[in-house]
Amino acid sequence: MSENRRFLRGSLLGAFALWGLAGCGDLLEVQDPQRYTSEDLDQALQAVADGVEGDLYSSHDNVVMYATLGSDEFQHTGTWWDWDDLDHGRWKYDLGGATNTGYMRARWFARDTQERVKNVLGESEAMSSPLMAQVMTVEAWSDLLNAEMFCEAPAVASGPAITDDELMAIAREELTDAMSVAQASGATDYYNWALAGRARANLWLGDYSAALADARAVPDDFMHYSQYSINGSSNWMVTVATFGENTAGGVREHWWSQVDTVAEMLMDPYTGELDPRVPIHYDPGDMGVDGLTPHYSQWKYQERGSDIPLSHSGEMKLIEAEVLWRNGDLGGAMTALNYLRTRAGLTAHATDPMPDSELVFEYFMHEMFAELFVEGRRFGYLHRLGQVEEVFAAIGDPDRPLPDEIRHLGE
Amino acid sequence: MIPSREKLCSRAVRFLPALVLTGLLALPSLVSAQQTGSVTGMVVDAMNGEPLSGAQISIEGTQRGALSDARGRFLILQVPVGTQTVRVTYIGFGTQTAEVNVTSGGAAEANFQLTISAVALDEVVVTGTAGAVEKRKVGSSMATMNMEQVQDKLPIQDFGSALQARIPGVRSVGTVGGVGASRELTIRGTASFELDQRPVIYIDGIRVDGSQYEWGNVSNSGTACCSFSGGAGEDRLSDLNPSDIERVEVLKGAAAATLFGSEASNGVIQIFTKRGRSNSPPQFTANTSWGINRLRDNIQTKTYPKFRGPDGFQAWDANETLIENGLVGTMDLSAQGGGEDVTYFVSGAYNFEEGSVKPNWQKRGNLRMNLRWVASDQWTFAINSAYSRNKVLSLQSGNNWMSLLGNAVLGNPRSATEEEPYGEPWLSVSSIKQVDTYSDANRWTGGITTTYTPAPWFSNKLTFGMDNVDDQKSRLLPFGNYYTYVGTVGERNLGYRRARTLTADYLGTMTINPLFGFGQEVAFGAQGFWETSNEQMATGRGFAGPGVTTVGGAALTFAGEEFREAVNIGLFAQDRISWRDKIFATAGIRVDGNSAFGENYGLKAYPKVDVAYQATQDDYLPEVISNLKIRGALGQAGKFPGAFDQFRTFSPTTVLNDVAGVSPDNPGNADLKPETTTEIEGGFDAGLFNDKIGLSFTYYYARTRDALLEINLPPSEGFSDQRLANAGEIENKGWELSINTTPINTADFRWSVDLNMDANENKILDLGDQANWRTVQFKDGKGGFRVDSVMYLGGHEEGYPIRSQWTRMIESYDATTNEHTRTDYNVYAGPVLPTFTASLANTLTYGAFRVYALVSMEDGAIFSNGDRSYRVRQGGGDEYLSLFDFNNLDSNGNPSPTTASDSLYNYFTLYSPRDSRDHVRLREVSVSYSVPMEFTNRFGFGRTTLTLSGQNLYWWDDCNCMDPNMQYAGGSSFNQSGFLAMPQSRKFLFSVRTGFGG
Repeated sequence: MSENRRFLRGSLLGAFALWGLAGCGDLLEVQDPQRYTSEDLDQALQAVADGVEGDLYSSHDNVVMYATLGSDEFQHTGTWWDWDDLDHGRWKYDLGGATNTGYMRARWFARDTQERVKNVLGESEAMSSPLMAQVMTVEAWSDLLNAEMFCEAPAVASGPAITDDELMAIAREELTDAMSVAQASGATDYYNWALAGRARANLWLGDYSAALADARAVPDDFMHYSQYSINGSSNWMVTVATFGENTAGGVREHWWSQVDTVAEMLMDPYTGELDPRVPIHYDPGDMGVDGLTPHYSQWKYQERGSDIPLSHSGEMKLIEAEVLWRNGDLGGAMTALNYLRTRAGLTAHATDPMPDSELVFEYFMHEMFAELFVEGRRFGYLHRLGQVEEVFAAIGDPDRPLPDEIRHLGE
Repeated sequence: MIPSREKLCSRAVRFLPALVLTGLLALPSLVSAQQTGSVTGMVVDAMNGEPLSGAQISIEGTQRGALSDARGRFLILQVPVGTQTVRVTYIGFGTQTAEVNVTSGGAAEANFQLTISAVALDEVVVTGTAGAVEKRKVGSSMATMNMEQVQDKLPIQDFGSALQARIPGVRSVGTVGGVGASRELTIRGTASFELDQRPVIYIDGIRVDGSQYEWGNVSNSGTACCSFSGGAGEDRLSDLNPSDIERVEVLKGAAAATLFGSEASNGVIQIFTKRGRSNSPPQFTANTSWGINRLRDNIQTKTYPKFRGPDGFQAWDANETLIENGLVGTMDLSAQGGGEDVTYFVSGAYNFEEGSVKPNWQKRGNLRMNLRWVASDQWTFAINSAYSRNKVLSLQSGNNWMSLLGNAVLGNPRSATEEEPYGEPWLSVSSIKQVDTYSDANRWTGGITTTYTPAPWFSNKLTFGMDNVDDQKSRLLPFGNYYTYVGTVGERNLGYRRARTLTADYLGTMTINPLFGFGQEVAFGAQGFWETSNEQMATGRGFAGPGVTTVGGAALTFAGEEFREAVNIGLFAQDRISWRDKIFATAGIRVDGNSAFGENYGLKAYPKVDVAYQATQDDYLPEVISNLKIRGALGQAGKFPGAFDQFRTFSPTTVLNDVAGVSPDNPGNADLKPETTTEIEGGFDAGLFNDKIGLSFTYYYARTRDALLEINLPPSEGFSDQRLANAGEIENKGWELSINTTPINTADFRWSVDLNMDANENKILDLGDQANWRTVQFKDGKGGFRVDSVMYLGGHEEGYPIRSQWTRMIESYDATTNEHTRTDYNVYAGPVLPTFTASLANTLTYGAFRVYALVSMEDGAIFSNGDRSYRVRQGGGDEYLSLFDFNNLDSNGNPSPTTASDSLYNYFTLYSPRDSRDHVRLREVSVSYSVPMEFTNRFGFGRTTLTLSGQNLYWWDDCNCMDPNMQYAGGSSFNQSGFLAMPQSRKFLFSVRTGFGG
């Protein structure tokens, strides 16, 4: 074979290989089999709506953790410096990343899903769909929780920040809209959840009569949880602050002497009775992650699948008690508070003679502590009621920053 | 009509067998009958007459060649009759040529006496050069390492260790401690904020998995497991058998690695394994090494036995109780040989190594077969096949509750008990020792390379190869012991990872004969790879009791799966023009398409140009300069984004009470493109005093544009993941200098010196328009601090090195209150990588004895020394406890705190220390004895060497730590923290190397 022919053949082979290679452009197309595209979601609206609700809950457990650590419920027992700052009221902007931002993300997803549901089902069918009731309620609750905890947030994606009061007013409107769709779609659970939320929004906004009306309209057996899966890791209260898991945070030392470690409950400060609403676990020798601090573990949530109450009838009774107290109806307030105590198996406070307003408020504050124990609300409520300084002075930490400074977290 | 791409592709695939068949059918016609003879001879060291094994002998202008055997002999058959030029090259020695007259059926003889040369410009390299070419023709810097010469000085069990402190600009250091664990391997600093820092690794032209990350958290919620051993993971480079390696070529930067395109901005390391020897009966080489690993006893627990726990239990010193001798044993046997047309190299090896802190061991078995068939003057085929099994019982280390040494070191001896004798902060050391954590990797790497040379001036090379890693991991937390997150119910974790890379590479080269003094070499080709990674995890938690240890036997089970896939196809062309064999100018371009590029982004072109000027023969050179090459190069290379980073996605997640839901995941970016590094480098390679001193210097400046940064989206936009964007710009500049010489070279005594130095300065030039001003402080040089501000984004500060260290520092001390105050803002502490490194190797040979020592140093790096503050805050550590008053005992018999110890405690409650990694290290020492041949020959053995060696023997530092190179996570991570890590052990070995057969 001549050299030229060999060269020609070699060149042809090479050129053919290149041609073939260049033609295989589709080889460069890959797919991520472990993620959904936006188009995929149109085929799975229920999963998307559940994801929206789950998104709110997965944000909420962060807030519960931080709010608990920032209140008189918990203290830092680990090694994380940021948590130590939180424990001592040194809140700072960086910690906002996992808190109110989560609520805003949940809201975006809820609004995005509302558009998706409308596109897939059509406007009219969507507005009478339980799916729509679900995601609208989540949208409203995202704004509600955000306004309760933080000073300001944007009302729309990438919009300017508005005040907590302005955001709460929006939340109240959203809750009303959600109730309307829930009623039209027969989604009773979401109706009640939105109604309970509106009671809270009205209370925040100072519309006490509306708050009382909403709270009384909520069924006595109402309970709505922020739900977690045993297969997940997002219940942070459990994963980082519970016996058997990480023990970076535990019940504040102030309460230790009042814990019955055998019965694993806090004793009621007025009667010494065991209060099942405040379960606390402690075995002698239990230590926090720092290896130095005894660890008294909250025992309300014992496993990763433990749900955190987000709103319930007990809270509605507290709203009722607060509004009545504000209205000067001390008897009505005591009735509501004693209802909660007897429901928990505790002896009711005496009402003859009727306690004075200050004592009723003290009772109210403790019932609130017990009823909402480690539900992530005490921090915000202490602020709303102007009790931060007083409460922390009582537990020996009077130098904490003022509430307004604290609530600028996340700006 | 132009066919669609799908049809085109499928046709190409259909035609593939036909192509192969065509080639095979063509073979007989290509084998032409020719009158031939043979060339035989011997290659020895001119100074002492020692045979040189592994020298490359070739007949110029033909495919004929051979390697010298252990006795320096070679034989080349079927050499065309006539006058032929025989060429001999051997790293470290000057190249020689000789002309012989080959007669039909006759045997021409050519013997060579090579002299040591500190300059290796005639050395042939192939990586990144589009074909084999002498170094003197290449305008970019390229490092080569002869593994045989490394192994000759001391036995190396791990490839990563072979790279450490030997090549300027290449940093290879052990990080987390424990055998089988990962190393940090970087070249010329850091050129990416987000992507892996490791250079890409090729073995015999096949792209391989060189990863070392701790894979584990593969489910969306992160529950399917964990970090198996604390964040470091095993190093896939340790799968290799160093004894299989002939040489290593290292491309350090973009200017040299342009032809590797979108994967090469971190540099390229290509490993060439050993080949057979033509016309040689089997020659066997056997190596065996035995010895121990033993940690240096500088753990900060020496004061612990002076303290007692609450029950009066005397605390333990980890130096006395945890450091043990870890057995090391290595055996490998290889055979090289072949006939005229077919040569082979086969090897098998077994390596066993125990860590000094147990349980921790590595067992590795390797098999390799390399075949080469010279079918004709036109066709050659090479087949490489390597199998390895690498099983590691991993040490629990790193940022990990179960860190074994961490629990022993960070505790408080005043809380010691019989169960927790070190006052362990989290878990008892005895419980951790019962945790079995295995990685068991089976790996096959192989490929076929076909070379077709239809004419002396035109050749084609086609390589197909595959690297397949199957890694199975398991961990058992036994029932009954307490473990964080698990309690006492036990847990079983299983993991499986399959990483597969397919490589296809075509290279065509054409050499055009010089005309008017101008020569030209044209190269063109295509290179593609397809890599996939599939990780699967299963976890079972909660056993009813001891006995059952399977995932399915647990009360709760979790599973997860993670998949990645990336495809890259590149075309390249290059033209090298020479003038009178003195000036070489090369221009080239590579064009890449990659599956990870954003949908809106097309192809990426990487150009390069380099110039080399060989000034040796010029009269104007002063006599002292015997050889001089001046070089300069400018080129680009890239780094493609993560496999699926471009896609906007929603992740499946378990929500509510075990309901399937979705959640916004990755916001995606359809405009994603590769990070592109443009590098300019210049330097020279010089030989002084008749090449007795070799000097090589390179200055480089590299700028990485479109560096990927994670940009925070406003939370109100929904996605929690950050958006990856090509927004950053990074600068690396530095220089590299190597000097090697043999000041004394007589028949009896030889003294060789190798000095390497390099400097690197890394700086973030731009963080994009999402960066914000952040208030920081700086030392003002007067003992105080000044407030300033820097542009900041996601852990990076513009104008400072990537991941530089910042912390709030102590600014004052009040003696009356014995308390410190710290700065209001973070203060710049320094870069995380050394700005200067150096190594000095001396080899003294006297008769049959050789003494070798390698000392290295690093300067400029700062790390987060978390252990230091942590153990003080825990109430432990010698630094703190040694300040106690040992004459003033408390009721429990413990020394009492003092003002000084209280001050230190207060100091470390406020200060997270950033300490210096500066150190000088006695890295390698060996003493070798070559047994006289007349003695070994009596037993049928050839050259036999006995070696006593030590590695990582001692270091001088100021780090307030056990080892300034400690790092808790893998080397590719940015976690430059010594927290809970363990230092590398010292290693002492006795080795025997011998050859027989042939």
